[in-house]
Amino acid sequence: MSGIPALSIVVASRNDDYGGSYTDRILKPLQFNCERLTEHGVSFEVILVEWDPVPGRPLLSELLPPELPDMTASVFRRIVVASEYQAALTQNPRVRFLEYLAKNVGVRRAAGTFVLTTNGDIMLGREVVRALAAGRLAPRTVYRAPRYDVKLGIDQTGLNWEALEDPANHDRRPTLRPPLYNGGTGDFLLADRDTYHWLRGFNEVYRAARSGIDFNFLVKAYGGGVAIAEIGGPVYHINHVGSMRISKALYTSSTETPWGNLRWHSRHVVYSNGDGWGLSDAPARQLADGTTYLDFDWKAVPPLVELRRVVLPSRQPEGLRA
Amino acid sequence: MKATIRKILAGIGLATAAQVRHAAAQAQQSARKADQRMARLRTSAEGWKQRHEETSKVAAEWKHAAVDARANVERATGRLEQVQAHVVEWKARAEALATQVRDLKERLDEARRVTTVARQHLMATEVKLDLIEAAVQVLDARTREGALPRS
Repeated sequence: MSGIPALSIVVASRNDDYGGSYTDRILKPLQFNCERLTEHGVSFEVILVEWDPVPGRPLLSELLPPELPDMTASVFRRIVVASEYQAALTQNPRVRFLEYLAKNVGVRRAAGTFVLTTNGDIMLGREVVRALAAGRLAPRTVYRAPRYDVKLGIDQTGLNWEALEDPANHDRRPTLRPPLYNGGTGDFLLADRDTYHWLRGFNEVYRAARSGIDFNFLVKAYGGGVAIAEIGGPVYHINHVGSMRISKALYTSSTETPWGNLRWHSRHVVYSNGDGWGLSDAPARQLADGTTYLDFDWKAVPPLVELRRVVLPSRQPEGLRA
Repeated sequence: MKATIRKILAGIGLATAAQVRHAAAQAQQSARKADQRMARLRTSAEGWKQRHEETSKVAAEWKHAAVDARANVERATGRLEQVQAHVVEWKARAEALATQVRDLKERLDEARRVTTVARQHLMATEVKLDLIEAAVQVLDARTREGALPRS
């Protein structure tokens, strides 16, 4: 790749078998997305942030590149974040994966004109790729796409848009509504890089929960006067056991879940991240295979609590329940 | 000859018996006509008298009605003035109430705005308390880990 890519796709993950083996969960959707973007002439980079690698298990950063021989290290950028950061940053030991801090690591280092934060198991829809290819996306706008859940256990071999678009294969087809177009938000948040940087990424102040951080980003964007719009078509997600949507009903308490407190005030209270958001002060080194490794340094870690960074948005969407 | 005799009799102011009978018959006829006319006039006069009485009666009734109407008008005028006074009074009350309602609405809007702001601050405070509690728990865990010598 040469020059600035049109799109940076940021995903955060670890080799923990969450939602199934990494092959089905990350590799196939990644291959699918890259093929569709290439077919449509969209220049892109993929940034995989491997957060808190599981001890004793191979890194995704090692497993995935051989499966994607056409993608150079500059197109498929891997960033491994030292495990100490999870331990140092956590405010809730139940939340084992600080997903949005990991995504911020990728956003902070993304080179693309537009940045898409998504999840590894999301496949881009036809209209999404067309919109990216047409180059008709506006700056200072957060684009959203509804997430259509594809039936649990569907064969992913040779999965194509025709199969993904077939309503018979859908478990759920939500409709997004203004002003925030929220719903499955973490699966598709697309904005120009400058807007992501202006907003300083996702909430790094409230780290006691993983749920609601994506919604919280929309509230902050809306409060900051950033437009929120639907891109024009869905993305697809293969249902899997353990996903938050399927599993959260299993927990009797809203606070004792792996996603933290499900009822924190993510719809009303926002954040003002510090200058070092996205672990920008973490020392980085290049590994032999081109992977970037972020070594631990307390200098990169924000204080455990910074109450002055808990703020209210300057405008609130109408009708949001407390 | 008869004509000459008649002329002579007429010259001295006399008439023949036939002329007298004829004149008497005419006089009787005229008297009958006069009686008949008299009778008709009498009947007509009675009719007019009756009509006059009826008309007088109707006129009296109308007069009475006019008096009643005038009394009604006077009463209604009095009542209208009362009603007008009421209207003015109620209008003033309605305006006062409308002003009160406007004031209350403004106060309600302000109260709602203050409540919203207070609720937002309360939520921010709850988030801060969440963070403080979380931090205390994390620090507590870290302290416990470091507090005891590892065996």
